[in-house]
Order: sequence, then C-alpha cells, then structure tokens
Amino acid sequence: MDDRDFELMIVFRSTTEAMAWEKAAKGLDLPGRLIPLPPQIKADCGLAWSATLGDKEVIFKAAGEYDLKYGQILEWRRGAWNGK
Amino acid sequence: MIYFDQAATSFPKAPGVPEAVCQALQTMGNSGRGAHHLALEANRLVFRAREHLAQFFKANDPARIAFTANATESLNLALEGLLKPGQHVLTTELEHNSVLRPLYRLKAQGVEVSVVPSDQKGIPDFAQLEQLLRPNTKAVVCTAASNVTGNVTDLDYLGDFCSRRGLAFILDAAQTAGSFPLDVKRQKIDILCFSGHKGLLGPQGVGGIYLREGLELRPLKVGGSGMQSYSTRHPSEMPEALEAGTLNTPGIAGLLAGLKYLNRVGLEQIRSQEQELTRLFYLGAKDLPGVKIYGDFSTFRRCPIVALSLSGLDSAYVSQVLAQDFQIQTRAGSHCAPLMHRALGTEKEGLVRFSFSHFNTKEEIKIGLRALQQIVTRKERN
Repeated sequence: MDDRDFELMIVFRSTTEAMAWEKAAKGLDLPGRLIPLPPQIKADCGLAWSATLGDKEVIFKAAGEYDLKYGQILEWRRGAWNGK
Repeated sequence: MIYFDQAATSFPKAPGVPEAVCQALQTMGNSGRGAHHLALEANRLVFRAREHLAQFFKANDPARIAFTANATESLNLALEGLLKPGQHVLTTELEHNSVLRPLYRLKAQGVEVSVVPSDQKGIPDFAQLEQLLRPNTKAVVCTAASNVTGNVTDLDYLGDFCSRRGLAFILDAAQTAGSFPLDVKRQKIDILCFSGHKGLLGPQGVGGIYLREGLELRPLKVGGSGMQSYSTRHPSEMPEALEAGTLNTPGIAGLLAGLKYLNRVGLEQIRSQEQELTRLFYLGAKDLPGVKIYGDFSTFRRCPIVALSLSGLDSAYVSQVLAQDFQIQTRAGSHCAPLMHRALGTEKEGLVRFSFSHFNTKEEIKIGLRALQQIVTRKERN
C-alpha cells in the first residue's frame, strides 16, 4: 500500500464547524470536498472534509494560519468503509 | 389599510423575504441531517445566516449564534439556562412578559428577583441598581427598549455596570434589533436575545440568541441534533448545544433576506426615517384635546412608538374604531408589559400603541392624525 491507498479525513465536532471549514476552504482554494463521514467514526457531525494525503501539508498549514477549527485529522484507508 | 403595529410584527416584510422562504421550501432539505445535496444547501444557508447575524451584532464567531423560535424562547433559554435557586437577578419595570414570566417561575423555584422601578415617563431609575445588588447577584436582564413607550435603554451604562461587577448582562433586543446598532463587545452584552420578525423584517417563527464565548447555558430542549447520535447526552458544542430538533430553515432563509436588506439600506437610514415619522405623529397628536402621550419625548432617539390614551375612552374601543372606521391597525391594551403599565398608571384603560417602520409614509401618518382628530371630535360632540 502507498499514499494513494489513503485519504485525509478532517472530522468536525459540529455541523457549524464543518460549514465554517467548507467556506474557508473554498475561499483559500484548498483541495478536497465535504463527504459523509464513514460510520465507523462515531464522534462526529456526519460530515468530513476529504482530501488526498499529498495535500496534508497545505491543509495543515492553512488550518494553523487561518485558525480553522476541526475535531481531528485522520488518515483513512480508501475503501475502508462500506465493508470493503 | 394602514399598518401601525410594527412593534408587534413588521409588515410588509423586506423585499426578497417571501421569495427566500419559498426558495428554501423548494430547494432545501434538513440542516445538519445528512450529507446529500439538499441537506448541505440547508447547512450552508443556516451558516450564512449565523455569519450575517454575528456581523450584525459584532460577534466574533458565528457559532455563538443559535436559532430559536422567537425572542421569548431565547429569553426562557437564557434565564432558565443561567440562573439557579439561591441566585439573585435584577430586572426593570420596562420588561415584557417574555422576561417577567420566566422570572416569576424561577422565583417560585428559589431564584431571588429585584425590579428597578421607573418614573411616570417610563424611565428606569438605574441609580437604584447599586442598592439592589446582593452578594448572590448573578445577572441583569433588561429590554433594549420598552415595547410600550418606545424609550430606549442606556445599554452602555448597563453593560459597564455588569462588567465591573462580574454580572451576566442579558439583553432583550426584540424591539431594537434592526433599528439601533447593537455591539455585543463594546456594550459588554453576554447574552443577546432577538426576534426575527420585528425590526429584522423576517418571517414569524424564527429568533435567536447570542451567547458570549466562555458562557454556558443549560439547554431548554435536548434531542435530535444530527451529531454524536450514540451519545446519551446532547452535544455541548455551540450552537448545536442550544438547538434540538429540526431548525426552521425556511424561516432562517427569510431572516437572512431581511438582514441583507437591512445591510443594503443601512440602519442609520432606517432609523432616521422611523424617527422622522415618529416625530411627525407625536407633534400632530400631542396637543389634541384629551390625548395623553406616554414616554420620554425629550429625545427622538427612541423606538418608533407613540402610545397614547384618549381621556374617558377605553384603549380597545379607540383601537377598534381606528380599525373599523379608518382601516388603521394599532395595538390596544397592556402589550404584555404589566409592570410598565402599572408604573405609567394605565392599567385600567390601557394605551393605544401606534408603532411605525420605515415602510410607513408621511401620508399615512397624516391620515392617522386625521383619524385621531375625528375620534376626538366625535367624543367632544357626545
């Protein structure tokens, strides 16, 4: 397995936090998109920001620089949900 | 028809409000419930509305704005969520029952309540605040303006008073939001409760609450949040901590359209027009025989309200004649503000309240004055 088998998953504590992230990410042209959160992750608002592992650095940098709030950042194996 | 009951609810609504409500009904799902297109559209709209409200009240974080059904729910949430038996709260005679009744209920549970009296013009004697303080005083709750007289409260003074003594300042902004600028940071407001359908020109059924960062409230309701479904506790993250159940997304869409309109026109322009109409009406009515106007008119920096009595006539009768014979809608009676009416000495006959918005015109004011003149003349003949 290599990086292409994983995706970056930014998990939010609330729907409002997810919306604030999405708006900032669009404004900053950050890579990724909102997706439904894999059901295995329980502490959630049902939404996550998904990007490639290669985008990790640029996303971390922007989150720090612009004080973007989120719950946690996970590296998630593609296809690890839906029972695959 | 002439509508002079703007203090009860705004009419008409701002341009774009009905369309925004319809669009939400036709294009949006349930905010916070799922990740499909319709749910996300609702999420985005609700977040934009939080952003607009945060900017409107000069709050840093949109997440500190929670939606409720109305200002009454917000005030119940603030008072029930903050105060505990054994604590003491200060309020004023200006208050609406949306403040008083939650306080009476809390009093029965052991919360101590003191009321700052006001004079015959309805001006509260804030010099008494200091004397009314107790070691267990927790908060001051006050309206930004009387819904009876239109007198506005000195929020800078109250905010400073509370801040210096470590008290929570809870503001009922139902009558001023949309006319007077509110700045939660500068005015040191800890909790601001607002209605969406009055000065903010949105639909009925939507209101909200601003809660300062660092302050927590016990929610009135817990339940579905779309978050942390396996937890037995309602989420503690703001704003969802105070929002259980499906939000009124169409109402919020209408409120957002109202806010956008207010931002386009500007509060200064709106207030200036409202105050001009109020001045016109006041000057035309004050010398009519038998008419007595209540409130402090030493300044027109006030809400666009003129409450009056006609000697010997019940307020409900006058309001009914205005509606039936002149198609002018006003509000008679006690306006859910019993202590204010007691202080003004108008408990028995009530007052006829004329309340205006910038959507009213000078011509309507003239028609209103002519109607009042005719009622006075009829009374004199009889």
